[in-house]
Order: sequence, then C-alpha cells, then structure tokens
Amino acid sequence: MPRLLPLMLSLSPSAIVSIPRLCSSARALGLLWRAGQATAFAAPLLLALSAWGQVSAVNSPDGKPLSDRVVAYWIDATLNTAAKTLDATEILEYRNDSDQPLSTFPFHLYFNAFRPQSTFSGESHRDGTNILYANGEQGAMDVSSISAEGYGDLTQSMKFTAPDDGNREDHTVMEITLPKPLAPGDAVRFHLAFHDKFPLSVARNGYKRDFIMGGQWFPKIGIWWHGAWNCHQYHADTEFFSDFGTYNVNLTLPQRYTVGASGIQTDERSNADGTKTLSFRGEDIHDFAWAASPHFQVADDSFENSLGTVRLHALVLASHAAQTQRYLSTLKQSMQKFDEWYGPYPYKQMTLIDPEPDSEIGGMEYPTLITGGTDWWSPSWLPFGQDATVAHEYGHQYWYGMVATNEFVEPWLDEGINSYSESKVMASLFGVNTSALNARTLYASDAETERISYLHRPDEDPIARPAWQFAGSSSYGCIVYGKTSTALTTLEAVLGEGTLRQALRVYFTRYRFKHPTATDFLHTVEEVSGRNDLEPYFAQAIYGTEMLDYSVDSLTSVPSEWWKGKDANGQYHTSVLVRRKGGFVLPVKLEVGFDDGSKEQATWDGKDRWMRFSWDKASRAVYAQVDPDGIVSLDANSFNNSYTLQPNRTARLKLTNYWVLAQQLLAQWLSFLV
Amino acid sequence: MKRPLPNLLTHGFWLALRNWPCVVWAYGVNLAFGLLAGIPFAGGLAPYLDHSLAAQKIAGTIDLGYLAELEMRLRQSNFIPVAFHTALWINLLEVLVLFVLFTGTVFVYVSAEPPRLSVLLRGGVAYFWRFVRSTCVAACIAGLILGVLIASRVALLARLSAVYVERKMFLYSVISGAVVLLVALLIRLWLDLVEVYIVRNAVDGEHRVRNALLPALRLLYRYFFRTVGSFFLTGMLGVSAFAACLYLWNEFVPAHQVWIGFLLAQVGLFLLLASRFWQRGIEVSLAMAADPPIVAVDEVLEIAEEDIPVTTGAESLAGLSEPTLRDLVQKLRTEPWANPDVLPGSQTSRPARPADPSRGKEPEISPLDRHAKKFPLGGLSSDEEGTPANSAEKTRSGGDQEIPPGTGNKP
Ligand SMILES: [Zn+2]
Repeated sequence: MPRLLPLMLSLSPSAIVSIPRLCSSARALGLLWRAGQATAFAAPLLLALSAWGQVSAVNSPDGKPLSDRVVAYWIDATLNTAAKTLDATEILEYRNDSDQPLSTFPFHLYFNAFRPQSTFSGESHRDGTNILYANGEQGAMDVSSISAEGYGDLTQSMKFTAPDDGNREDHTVMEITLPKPLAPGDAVRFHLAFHDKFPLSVARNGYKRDFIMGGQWFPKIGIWWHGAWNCHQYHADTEFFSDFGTYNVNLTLPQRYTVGASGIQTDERSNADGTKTLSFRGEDIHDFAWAASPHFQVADDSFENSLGTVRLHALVLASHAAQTQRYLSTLKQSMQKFDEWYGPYPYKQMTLIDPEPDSEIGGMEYPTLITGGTDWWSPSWLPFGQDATVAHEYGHQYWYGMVATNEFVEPWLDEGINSYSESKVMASLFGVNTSALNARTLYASDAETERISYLHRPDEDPIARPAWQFAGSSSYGCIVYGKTSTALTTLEAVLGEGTLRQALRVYFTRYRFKHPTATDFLHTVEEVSGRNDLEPYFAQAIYGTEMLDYSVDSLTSVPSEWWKGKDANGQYHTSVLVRRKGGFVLPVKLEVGFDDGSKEQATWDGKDRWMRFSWDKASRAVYAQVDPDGIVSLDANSFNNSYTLQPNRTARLKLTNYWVLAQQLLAQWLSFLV
Repeated sequence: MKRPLPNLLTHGFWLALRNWPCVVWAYGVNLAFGLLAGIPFAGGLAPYLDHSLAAQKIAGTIDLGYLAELEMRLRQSNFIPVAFHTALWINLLEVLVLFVLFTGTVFVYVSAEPPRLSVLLRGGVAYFWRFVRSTCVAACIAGLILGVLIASRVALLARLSAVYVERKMFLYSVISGAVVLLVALLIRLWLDLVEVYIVRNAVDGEHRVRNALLPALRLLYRYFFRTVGSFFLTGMLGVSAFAACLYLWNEFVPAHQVWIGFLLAQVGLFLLLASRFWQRGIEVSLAMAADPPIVAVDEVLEIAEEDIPVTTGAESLAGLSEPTLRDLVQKLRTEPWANPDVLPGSQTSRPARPADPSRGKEPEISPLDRHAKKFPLGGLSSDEEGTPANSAEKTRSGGDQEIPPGTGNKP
C-alpha cells in the first residue's frame, strides 16, 4: 500500500492522544512494530489517523458524540467490479463497555450465509425460496488473518460457531479468543484482512449486472448486551444488531463507478491505475453500507431541521431518471413528518440508492443510507410501490438506525413500529384512504395493506418472538410487519392518535442511540398515556395469538306488542345479539341505526361470549354495527361486524358483473384459440 | 396467377351482416353461459355482502382492502371451488358450443344457406370432426413453431437482460412478444382458411382435411398482405371497441351503477365477438373469390356425354356421383346427424334422385351461384375462372379449361 506512505510521515503524537483509551493498545502497537510487522499495520493505522480532524458527519447540538461509540472501524477496501470481489484490511477498535473482563469475541461474517450449506439457505429452502447459487453466484467472506494490538496474531484461534442451531457449516459467526481477557473499560484494536465474494443479488445484498451493493460486507463484531454476547447466525428472516460507533472507509474502484455510502464522503483521489479511492466517514451509526454503479445519476436536495442542514443525496439509475424528483420529494416529505412527529434527524446526510432493476437489492435500510425501488412506468396513483418504500426505509433511520433495537430477538420493535409509522406518514402524504392506491375505481390505504398482510397469517405466531423462531417467512412477514402495525393502529384508536404519537416521540427521544427492549417501549406507552390498564391488551396483541373477531349475530326489530298484530301501538322492540367469536377480549362499541334517522349506542366489555342488547322505540331498526367507527383494525372479519335488516345487493351484483364479464371474455378467447 | 379480389373488408362485413343470426346466436350463447357461471358466484357472495354495511365499501368505488378481505373470507368457505369449478366446466361446454356454432357459421357463409339455428347446428355437427382434426393439426404445427419461437425469445431476452433494463428491455420484450403473437395469429388465420376450405372443398367432392391444408396456405401466401391486413384490422377494431366500452364504463359510469356497467360491458363483448365473425366473412369471401369450387366437372361431362338434358342446376347436381354442396345440404336437412362424408352421391352406383318434394321449391341455381348472386364476389363466375389456387387437386377433375361454357349449373 505505497500510496499510504506519505501519510505515515504525518503521524503525530496528538493523533494517538486523540484516542486516550487506546494507550495500552498503542504501546502494543509499538511492540509489534518493532517485531517487524510494520507493513501489516501501517495502512490501518494511517487510515485511523487520516480520520483525525475530519469534518463531523453529524449535526450534534453540543458537538459531542451522539452515541457511546463502543466501536470504531477503519476499513481500506479495493473492489474488483469485474470479479465481484473485494479485498480489504480492517481495524476494529472495540471498547469493553461491560462490567466484566472479556476474552472471546464473536464476529458476524454475513456473506457466508449465501452458500447452500448455511442456515440462511436451509431456512429459505424450507420456506419455499430455493436459492440456486449457480456458478459465481455464491457469496463468501474469508478472513485471512486477524491479530490484536498487544495480543499478537489470533488467526489460529479463529473458529466458526453456530449459537442458534449448531449448524457447523453455517460460517456466519466466527469467534476468536484473546490470550488474556480485556478488562472492563479497556479497548482493543483488532486488525483483520478479508476477502469478499459478492453473491448474485440475494436478501438485499450482492451484485446484479454491474451494480454492487455492499451491505454486511465486512467482519462485524457482535454486541455485548444484557450480560452476554449477542451475535446470532444469519437466518432467512433475521436482520442485524450492532454497537454504535464510527466508520472510516476507503473504497478503491474503477473511475466510471459512482458510489453512495453511509455517512459523508470526505475525500476522492484518482489513482494511476485508472481507479479512484473514495473516503467516507460515519459517526454514531451501527453499520456501514455502500452501493456502486456506473449508471447512477446524482441528484441532491437539502432539508432543514432544528439541528441543522441535512443533505439529501439521491443516486438514481439512468433508466429511472424520470423518478428522481419523486424519490426526493417523498424522502423530503417523510423527513418532515418524522421530524415533526418524533424528533430531528441528526446526521448530515441521507443517501438514497435506486437499486438495480430485477435485483433483490431494493427496500433496505442501513444507517443514513436506504435503498428504494421503482420501475420506469411506476404511476403516481400507486404510492404503494416507490413512495411507501422510501417512507418505510427512511422510517428505519428512527426505528433501527437511532433506536437500535435487537432485530434478531425483537424484530417487531423496528419493522413493526416502522410499518405503523410508514402507514401514518403515507396517510398524511397521500390521503388516509388512498395512501396505497388511488385509481379511478379502486382505492386502498397503506394501513389496509398492513392489515391484509396480518389477515393472511393472523394467529400463527405472537408478535413478540425472535425472528428465526417464526413458523416461516410468511408468518414472520405477516406478523412482524402486518400484525404489529395493525395492533398499533388499534392501540391508537384506544389511546387517541395524539397520545400514541407523543408516546413514540418520548420513546424515540429517550432511547435514541441506545438499544431498548419491548418492555422499554410498552412502559413508555403506558407512562405517556397515563393508562395502567393496557397490560391485557399488550398480553393479547403483542404476546398472544388469540384472534379478535366480534360479530352481530342477529338483529330483529318487531312490534312491541307483537301478539296484537302489526304495529299495534307504533312501538318496536329491537334486539341485537353481539358475539365474540375469537379469544381476544376487547371492549367494543355497538351502534344501532333506526329508520327515523336516530342512533343508539352501547358498549360491551366483551368478556362474555355474547351479549344481547335491546331497545323499545317508536321506530324500526335499520342496522346494527359493532365498532361503528371502524377503529378496531385487529378485528379479523369486517363483514360480520354489521347487519342490515333490508338486503342491499349492489355490491354482489357489481362483483358478479365483473365475474360474468371475465367468464365471457375467457370463453371468447378460448374459442378464438380453437 | 392472382385473381382480382373484391374488397374483402366490405364483402366480409356484408357476409357477416346478412348472416347476422350467426353472431346473435353466438353472443346469446356467450351471454347465457356467462350468466350461468355467475349464478353460483352471486349465490356465494350473498351471505357476506347482502346484509353487511361493509359491502358499501365495494358497492361504490372499491376499497381494495375490503375486497382483499372478502377474498380471504371466501377462501375459507367452499365458494372458490364451487364458483371456479362451475365456471371451468361451463366455459369448456361453452367453447364446445361456440366451436359448433363457428363451424356452422363457416358452412352457412360458404353455402349461402339461410342462417337459421337448425342449419348452423347441422352444419356445425356435420363438419365438427373435420374441424377438430384441422384444429389438432394446427395445434401441432403451432406447438412446434411457437415452441421454437418462444424458446428463442426466452433465450434472446435472457441475453439482452444482462445488458438492458427497464424501458429498453420492455421494448425488446414487447417487440419479441409481438413477433410471437403475430406468428400465432398467422397460424390462426391459416387455420381459419383451412376451415373455409374444408367446407368449400365439399363442393368439389373433396372431404379429406389434409387436402384443405395446403390450398389454405397457398391462398394465404398469394394474398398475404390483403388477407393479413384485413384480418388484423378487423381484430383490432373488435378489441378497440371492447376497450372503448370498458373505458366508457370506467370513466363515465358512476361506480354503483351496476346495470349501465353491465350493458356497456355486453356491448363491448358483442362487438368483440362480431369482429370475429367479420374475420370469418373476410376469409370466406377471399377463398370463394380467389379459389371458387369446381362442381364435379367430370361428372358434368359425363352427364353431357350421356346427352342428358341439363335443366336445372339443382336437379342435375343431385344426380352426380360426387357429392356437391347442395347434396350435402339436402343430406343434412333430411338426416341432420349424418356423416357428410357418406353422402348419396358418393356411392359407387349412382342412386336414384331423392324424391324429395321440397327440393322442387329450391331455387334452381347451384349453391355456388346462389352464393354468388347473394354476395357477388369479384372473379367468382365459373366463366371467368383462371387457374385456381389449388389447381393440383383440381387436375383430376379435368382442369378449368374443360368446363364447357355454361355447363348446366345455370337455370
Ligand atoms: Zn423494514
């Protein structure tokens, strides 16, 4: 790495002083240097120092770090865009933030999931997704060496572990052991050299044509959490969980490529061999991702919030150039809503990547970087595709990016809460009823899409369950995203929209740059709402699998003195039988409408299996309806929630008309064929 | 040598229009079977929609969320198997009936018989198996040609998709798809002409399906652009009319106005179906104008040699050993379910002329001439015939030049 030599000369004592906790490591570095390993460590060290004095990547109100910054990474990578490989050196500075000495350190090697032997592939296959891994389509991450300053070479101590399922061939978790423990409060610098083989796009990663997505592309240390290492294998449906820290990344690749990455770009240098080296820095983030394509067109905008200016940096493929402004507009409006409702976005840049068509790279969140997803024809009356993706992935900057919950163990805290937030943002941007689809004869809301997802698998798993322990990918998706969002929509109806929004704001403000749990979230909701009666709801909706389904079983409205004949005294006796068909108990409202336009309402606690309500009035009932405001979204059957005495066949005839038309057309087409 | 052709579009149109009952019957079948399929569908929806306020989310502009939920509710009942299986069988039966009606229609168009339902059905049943055989042959050929084309298209698109994306890829996909569709439509057009030839060849006493394949291909080749142009134009007009009706429904009919929507959809479906009959009219006009049948010339000569005075075309034809179209019609009238391949005239020994009193009431012209009088097709007159397209098959009959002028087909 000769190009780093001039930087070696700039090494100054102040640079080392700037990392005070590393004093012991620095001493170790000197020893190693003397041991003749200068070459091995020069590059990473210089990388570390080159970050010194750089402009900050965050708009910190007081200039201080926003997070604990447990880790610091310096990665120098060279990308081979033809072979879809990457060679890199990595320095990881890890601070033991626990109260006990640590001697083993697990690392995620996510790229090894993209092999047929992995747990990821096995679970995908089990759930019906057959990833073929033809020639050159597998992924791999090989760590060729690892050492630690002051501890020497640790390569021999590397071993693969499989903490979740014991699959020895999984290779997505590697563990090393230090010869002596790292004391609490002390830091250690690991030096790694690794080689990546990018897979053909899979699970929002890898390459497609000349587009390369660098997500989970480097050996990443696990997180010491609640008294133990939390470093799960990569499963078919799991995502990620890491410590906050800083990232300094140099990426060398051909000149013709444009790169978008987490954090901000700090430098760009042209190299003699026709490549260029781009430098990026990210602060107070827990992951670092990048995307490279020769077809990106850059479009920038800015957004002002209470902490300063945020640069909106969109890298849109030339084939989607027409969607650029739509991308930026939705992103900016989503930022506005999150800022207004939950709190400010503190980073200096938000990068939006337009993913390669036909790839699996779209719709993914990384700190300060998201991938969208669109088509060249994507119509404006269908916000469900492009706009919902942007709103959702941006929402993850809050629910994952800053409020960094454990995506392995409690996936609903990021995907579920974020799906709810997405539906609220979409409703505010595109209309409450039309936020997913706004065509002439059809409409749908984003919240409804979540509810329909929930209805596909309403009771297979509870919301609160580790991601890899769901019955399958389908249940994971329907419950974690759909049911959580629908349960929060129902909770919103119980508490009031403003109260739940305030609870989320407090939750965000209190737990940003931390790793809260479900208990933290639920307690915050109880605290902000001032309600101490929510536990039964949480127990059933979040931790249970009982179905919620109320129905109007019968409605009668007959002359009060029926034995005297019709309308003897002009009074009618109206009787409604409401039934709780599911095991989920929730108080519900009943409304009965009468032919003189009057309405009667009643509330039922739902504890019994059924309840009969009756009224004696001078008018006859027209309809009876439970949940007349349609706010109990968790109710699994909307059609049995009401009953009208007089039938209305319009809907039936309308659908039958479509059906008859389709059959006639089909028959004509078939008779054309023969 | 090409014959001068009439305007295929107008002649085909008038042929279809004059025989309007064919379209009406086919549409009636289409509608009746559609409604039949709608009965279990509507019945299955009733418990969910008729008394539920949630149905209002579907009765007007449709809330897709409610529609999706309804679909889930229906999946949990036996609605899907009942409605879909009923529709499947109804559609299969309808296709069969429409097949017979289309077969009968070709017979009516070629023979100029009155387009009564009984004639349609008799003609349809009489030619049913020969049309089935021709369809099977066409299906095999189409399978072969389209199979190769589709495989080539898939391979081509796979290569292109390594480089091109989105709009460009869409264009390549559409263009290559259009090529496959074009070839598929050409095969359909050829099959249409084969079907016309099957009926038309009966006039020549030729009942073998295989002898309709090549003449149809030659005809298509010889008049390629006019034929294909007319076929595509009418098809596009039909599809456009249908699309226009759907557009009007979508744009101008309030969402809850079910009956207006129904009427517009039915108008569209009728026009779509009518365009198919127009295409059939065009094909019959083409075949009958470009390659008119020769009515058993050798037998006519034989009759001449025996010095039998030719009085009326009808009566003379009835006595020929080779069956003619009129024989066929007569046979079908008297024995509606008979095999047209075994006709009185095809017997080795010449049978006595059927003493059918009704025949005396028939117009005393040949079916071909009657057809020509009803729908004068340019170049049709046997006096003006040139080399027919299927001259190879005709040589056994002595060739065109051997037809004596005014041979007893005329009154
Ligand atoms: Zn998400």
